[in-house]
Formats: sequence, structure tokens, C-alpha cells
Amino acid sequence: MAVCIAVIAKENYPLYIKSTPTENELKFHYTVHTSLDVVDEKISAMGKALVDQRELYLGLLYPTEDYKVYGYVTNSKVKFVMVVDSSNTALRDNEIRSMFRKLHNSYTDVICNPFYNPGDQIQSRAFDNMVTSMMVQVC
Amino acid sequence: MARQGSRGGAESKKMSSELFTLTYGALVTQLCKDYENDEDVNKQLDKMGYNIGVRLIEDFLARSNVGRCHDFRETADVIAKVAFKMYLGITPSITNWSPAGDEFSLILENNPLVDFVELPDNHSSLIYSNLLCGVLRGALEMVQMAVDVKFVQDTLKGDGVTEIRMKFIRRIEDNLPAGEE
Amino acid sequence: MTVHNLYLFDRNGICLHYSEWNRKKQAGISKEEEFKLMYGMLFSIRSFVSKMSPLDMKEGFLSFQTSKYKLHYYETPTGLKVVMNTDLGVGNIRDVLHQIYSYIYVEYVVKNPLCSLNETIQSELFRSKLDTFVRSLPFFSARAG
Repeated sequence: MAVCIAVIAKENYPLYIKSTPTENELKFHYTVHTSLDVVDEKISAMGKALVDQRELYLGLLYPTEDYKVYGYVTNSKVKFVMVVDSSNTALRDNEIRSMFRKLHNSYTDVICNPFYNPGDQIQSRAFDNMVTSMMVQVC
Repeated sequence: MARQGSRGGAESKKMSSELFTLTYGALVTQLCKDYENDEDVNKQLDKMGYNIGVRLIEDFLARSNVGRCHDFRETADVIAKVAFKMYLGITPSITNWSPAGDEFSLILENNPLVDFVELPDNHSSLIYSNLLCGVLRGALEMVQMAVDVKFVQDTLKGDGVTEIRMKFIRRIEDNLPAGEE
Repeated sequence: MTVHNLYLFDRNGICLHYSEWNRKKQAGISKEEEFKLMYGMLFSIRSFVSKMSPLDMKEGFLSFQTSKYKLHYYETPTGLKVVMNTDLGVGNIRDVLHQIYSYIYVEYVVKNPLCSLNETIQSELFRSKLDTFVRSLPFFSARAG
């Protein structure tokens, strides 16, 4: 189960960030911020790799003592970062991938809303609901 | 019979529904930017819809080959089962007939104009799909029916379904050209 | 067999279009008066036919003929009237008139936002498509039969 989900614009500012309100949220924000460097590294390393669905998923960015951070980037260079509890070993790679896919689909729906200007903060209720469901989901 | 023109028979040209939804969305948001006030946008959408309706009715009659309707109930059936199906690919249901038979509701389970749309809080009095009301009003006026059309429920505003209420006002009589007695 | 001429009227009696192919005799009055006369006659016949019909009306007035020519009539629920005069050898051409409505009027006038409805059709494209269509009809021949 994810403890924090963030959507970062291609200019590296956050469009959306949500964490489980258990502890210091700032800590999660910081984690996401530092993970952006890793994301950028991975993107430039991709270089001439084929851009297909699997390559969009960046995998485990880096583990900390309590958490694991996963990344995903879209073709328009919008990044999704997911922080997951380390103790949650039942979460497999496939599940993480499908969570990112769901995020990507919801993000696309947000973009299609004519009232949303790309680059704005994401305030969509539907997106919010989807993210909440991912965080509340029991493994 | 020799067929002129590029179409054979009554086929409709296909187009992506997303393109249609996005085009309509861009139209509404541009109107919102131009007019800044929801009431004015609603009026413009109605006017545009009316202009579409007065022409759309001819295309509808040419393609569907339905004749004159004998009463308002028949009109309601044709609108829901033929016209909506032909142009939007949906078939709304007809309910809530008034006892006098001059008012009814069209219930749309889903409205292709509002796929992906979420109304922001600062546009709470915007009637997003008001174009449809204008279209229905314009089209029916061309077949001599003056009607009043409005949305009474809207999924964009949190209702479960979208409901359009149509009321028959009066029959518009044929005009004689000037100079005829 | 031949087509003499064709009139298109809108619901307010305005003549949107007139074409002729094989008219030997003119009416002797101005075109404006001729259109008014034609429309007035159609309006009267329509209401006469519906009033005096001994049975329930289906399609209403379809055509009339004299010893020399036949006038065919088609009206849409929106009040657009298509009138074609042909010689006597021609049968029921209601579907032809419907095609003129659907494939030519609707396609080239209604769907063109620059053509305003309720006034004479200026579109050259419409004129030429109509002409081509009529000339291709099986009962049209350039010289009167």
C-alpha cells in the first residue's frame, strides 16, 4: 500500500502530492524531491532505448530504511513517484506497475477535462478518489 | 438512379468521439474566457445550438426519412430513438409525461459531451451542455413546434443522471408570403 | 420524355431556386409574379386536397397533369417545397424529388454555413450539382420527346 503518491510536472514542480496523514508529511515531500534526481538519471540513461510501456516504468528508484520509492515517467515527461512502506513485502513489481498504469489513466482523464490547464495543480475529485483508494487499499 | 455527390445511401461519416468531446470542451472553455459570466455563456450556447438545430433538422429528415409526426408523443419517440441515436449514439429514455401530454423528460444515462469533464467551483451556474437545448429548440421550430427545453438534472452537478425537460408551447402556423390574402 | 423546369420554395414562400431546361413557352409575367403565382397555387391546392379528401390523408398533394405537361410536388416537414414540371411520359418521381432535397439541397446549401437559408441560393456549386443531377435522370433528354 502506498504511503505517498506524487505527480511532478516536466519542469520538476509538483502538480499533485498526497500522503497518508500518519506522520510528518514534510518528510515524504522531501523523499519525493530527492527521488527526482534519481528519476532524471534514469531518464538520461534510457537514451536510445525503445519508448514502450515497460520503459515508462522506472522501477525501484532507491530504498531507504523504512520505505521504497518507485518511479514512472510518461512520454510527455510528467513523472509519477510512489513511496511504499518497506515492511509491505507482499507488493510485487507487477502490482506496482498496474498501480502506475491506473495513475496514468486517471491523469489522462484529468488532462482531457477542458477546464484543466496543463501545468495547474490537479484538483480533480475523480483523481483524488482514485489516489485515496490506492493508499487505503489493504495489501 | 444516378447518385450525385460523394455519399452513397444514408451512411454517416465516422469520427472519434474523443475529438468531438474535446472540441466541445474547448468551445465551452473559450466562451467562458470570452464572456466571464456563466449566464452569458449559457445564452451563447443556446444560440449556437439553435443555429445548429435549424439546419440539423434538414439533414435528419433527409437521412432518416421520417414523415411528419402526428402528435407530441410521436415527436418524443422520434427524438429519443432516432435523432439522439443518429447524432450522439445514445438512446435516452422518455419519462415523466405530464397529464396533459405536453411535457416530458429525456433521461440520459451518459452524455458524450461531458466525458472527462469536471466543473470547477467557480462555474457552478454554467449549464455545460446547453447547446443541446438550443439544438432541440431550433430543430423543432422548423417543423412548426415551439418548445421550451431545459436541463433539470445534470451529472456534472452531482445528480445521478442527466435529465432534459421538454415542454410543448404551441404550434407555429405556416406563414403566407406577403401579398397573398 | 423530358424535364421542363424546377422550382424550390422555402416555408415562407420565398423562391430559393429556379432552373429551366426545356421550356417552350414563358408565362408572360415577370419571374417574381410567376413565383408568387406558383406558390399561391400550391398553398391553395394543398389545403384543398386535405380538406376535400374523402379518405385519411397520407402524403397529400402529389402531382397534377394537363394535356401537355405534368407538375410534380414534394414537401418536407420543414416546409421546403420541390416542384418539377415534366412531360406526360413521367410517372411518380417523389423519390427523385426527395433525392434532390437530401443529396443536393441538404448537402450543398444546409450544410454550408455561408449559405443563408430563407433567401435565394447563390451557391454556384448547388446550381451545377443540381443541373448535373437533373440531366442524368433517365427521363431527361435534351430535346423534348
